[in-house]
Amino acid sequence: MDVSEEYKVILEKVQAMDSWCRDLLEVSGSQPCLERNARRIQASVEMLKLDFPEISDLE
Amino acid sequence: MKKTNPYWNPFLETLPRESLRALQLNKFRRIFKWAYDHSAFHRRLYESAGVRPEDIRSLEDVRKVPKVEKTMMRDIQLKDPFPYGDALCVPLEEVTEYRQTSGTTGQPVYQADTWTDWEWWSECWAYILWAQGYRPEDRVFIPFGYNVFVAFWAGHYAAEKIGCEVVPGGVLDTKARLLKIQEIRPTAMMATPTYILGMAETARHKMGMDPALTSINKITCAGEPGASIPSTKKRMEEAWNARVYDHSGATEIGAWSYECTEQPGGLHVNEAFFHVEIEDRETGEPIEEPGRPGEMIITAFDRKAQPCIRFDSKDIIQWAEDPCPCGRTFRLIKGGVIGRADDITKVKGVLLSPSAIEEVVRSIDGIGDEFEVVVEKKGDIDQITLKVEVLPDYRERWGEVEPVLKDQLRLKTNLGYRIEVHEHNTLPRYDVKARRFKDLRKH
Repeated sequence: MDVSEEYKVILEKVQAMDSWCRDLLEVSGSQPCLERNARRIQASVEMLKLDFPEISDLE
Repeated sequence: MKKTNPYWNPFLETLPRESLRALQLNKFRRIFKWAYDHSAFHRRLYESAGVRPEDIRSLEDVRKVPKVEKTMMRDIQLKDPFPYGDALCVPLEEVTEYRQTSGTTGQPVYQADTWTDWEWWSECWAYILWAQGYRPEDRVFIPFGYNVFVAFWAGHYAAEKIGCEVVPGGVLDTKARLLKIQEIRPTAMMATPTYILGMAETARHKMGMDPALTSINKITCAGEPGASIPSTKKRMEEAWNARVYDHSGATEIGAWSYECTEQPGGLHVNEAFFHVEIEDRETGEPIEEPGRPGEMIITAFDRKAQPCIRFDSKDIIQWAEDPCPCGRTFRLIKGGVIGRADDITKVKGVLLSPSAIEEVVRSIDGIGDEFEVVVEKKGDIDQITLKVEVLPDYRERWGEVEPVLKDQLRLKTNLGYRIEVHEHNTLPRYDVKARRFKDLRKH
């Protein structure tokens, strides 16, 4: 499928958010507020990944 | 007024069908593998059928995967881990939400969801509410018990996600809720059709209040058929002077369908998140052509804690002929959920669906909203009794109304009925879901 440049930019940023969130979780260690809030953010990021699927999933 | 995009997700909701099917296949393969790898129940089920994740190479291959029925869930949940059983695909400590089914068809089923699943619930509902015109400017009143049934929980969080102002209407009784509507002036509301009509009745007959004069301009119905039955929808819309929209979902499945502002006489299936198949009730063969009712088999692609994969919902649906003028490429099911396989029964050799009776009863002036149907055996013969309420203004004119009722029932259901007429407000009322159809032959 031929997706727009706008979609590709969105996908890149969602992937960046995902990566950033995982990095945050890695350093959350013994910080419950950090770990739990980061997990909540991760749940929202997972939703964005469903809302904006990988291009390979559409072919 | 700022013009907003009519679609919550413009990309997915207008995705070309070919890409949508590719997405569905890829997602089905992933959730199938997830369940296969993470749940003892699913592994047993699939191994006994000889099907493995690598066997799914097309959407047609999906039919190789064995179905799950609600009765199986009840047995699964007798196993560990308590209380969900071995269909659970995540460690128990990742489960953050407990809900259960309403138990109208037997022992309730317990439903586990993780945080991500709960986000998924509110996201699916955001597709629904945005399609029904909910915007950040709306004030949304939710007259719901906020209890163990999933009901409108996700509607609440979706309305928040959209940016609406959400007014929780739990704990209050019906009169207090009506007074709150007058006081706070919400623009939207969510409830079952039974409760929407019940609130209107309480307003008019017990409080001297006209619900059509409130600030409510749109209502989302869920929990039972009604909002896709034309005469019931009309009664609700006239009572509240508001647009009434349907949504069909289930605790075990998710929020899989929605009516849009075009009100096309059907519901969109959210095909980016759910895969719907229709099967012939007699032969089990797949039905693709529009207009032929069958039983819905459904998969939720993204629900991880307690997956829903080829769940036999017992809902009867049919594909619509034409695409919706709204422009969504998500297919429509015509007339919403037409009935339940459990409820559709043969009476005097004729198939009878309770929703067909509802459509007739609510289309005739002078008959109240509540009714009851009793099917019993008199000797060897089936007898159907329809209990209706006559509205006070029509008491003297019942002689004119009853023949119309009988004629319409015969026309629409091919059956004759014993009619029992009751005074208004004497038949049972229901707070949430109604149980109007009683088949005493089964006892």
